Amino acid sequence: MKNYIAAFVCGHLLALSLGLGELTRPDRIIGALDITGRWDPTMPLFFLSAVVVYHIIYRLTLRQSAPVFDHQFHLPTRTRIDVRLIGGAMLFGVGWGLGGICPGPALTALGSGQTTFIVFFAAMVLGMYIFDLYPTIMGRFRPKTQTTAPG
Amino acid sequence: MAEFSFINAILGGSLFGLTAGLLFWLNGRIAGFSGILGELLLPRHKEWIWRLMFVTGAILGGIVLQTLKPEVFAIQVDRSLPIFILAGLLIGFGARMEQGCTSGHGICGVGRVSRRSILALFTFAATGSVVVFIINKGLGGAL
Repeated sequence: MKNYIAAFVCGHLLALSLGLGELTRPDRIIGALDITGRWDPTMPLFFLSAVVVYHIIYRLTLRQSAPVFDHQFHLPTRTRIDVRLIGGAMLFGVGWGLGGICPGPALTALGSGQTTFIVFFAAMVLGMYIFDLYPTIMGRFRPKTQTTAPG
Repeated sequence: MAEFSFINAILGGSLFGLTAGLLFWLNGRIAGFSGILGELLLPRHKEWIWRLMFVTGAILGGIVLQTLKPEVFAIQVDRSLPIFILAGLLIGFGARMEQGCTSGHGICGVGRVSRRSILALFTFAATGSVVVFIINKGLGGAL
């Protein structure tokens, strides 16, 4: 029960933090990717702060034998660099540059009720299904054992 | 380009890192949006309740933002709806394929010093920059 409340609070605070840093605005993302034009340092600064803070908490947490509300840590087990990782990241990057929206902001922006965000979210979910529901086509990219996705 | 707020970027990022850290400390989970959402949409295993709680909390966060600070949802980019649809398809497909997104790989994975995540971040930032370069320099900034 407590882990459900924790998940709710974390989802809520993560959405608020994305709004605070204005990463919910597509022009912020596209501005950060526009490295040869009018570069917007908002997203890189957001990332840097988030990574540093997360790194410290992560290291401190691993000193514990288990998380507070669970009996084990759920960490990704894959370490290999493969076509699936790089190919997926390339497609993701193209989508990111086109729309300036990624999954966190896409979910958060549902709360805005704006048509563009809702349509984007629906397309994103469809994209997820297309990958996940065609194991025959994507068979050679799928992991052999079921693991929890890292992100 | 909107005016850049140094303080908001640092505060927002720190709150994100703190909260993602909290989710790991309390539940032992990685705060990756595409993973949590993707696994929830395909309930292959029993652990869907916490994911639903996470997603609900995030959408409620969006509603709070819309109420208090609606300007954070301003769409000030010159993109047509079909381009947003194409972008959404690629983001969804790509995130599942690379098993992570900007939060899971880009922040949590890099924070864990994962080789895969660092490479993923570098790859999608690089391809994203190329796409933005082509649109801004070659197509006049609109698509």
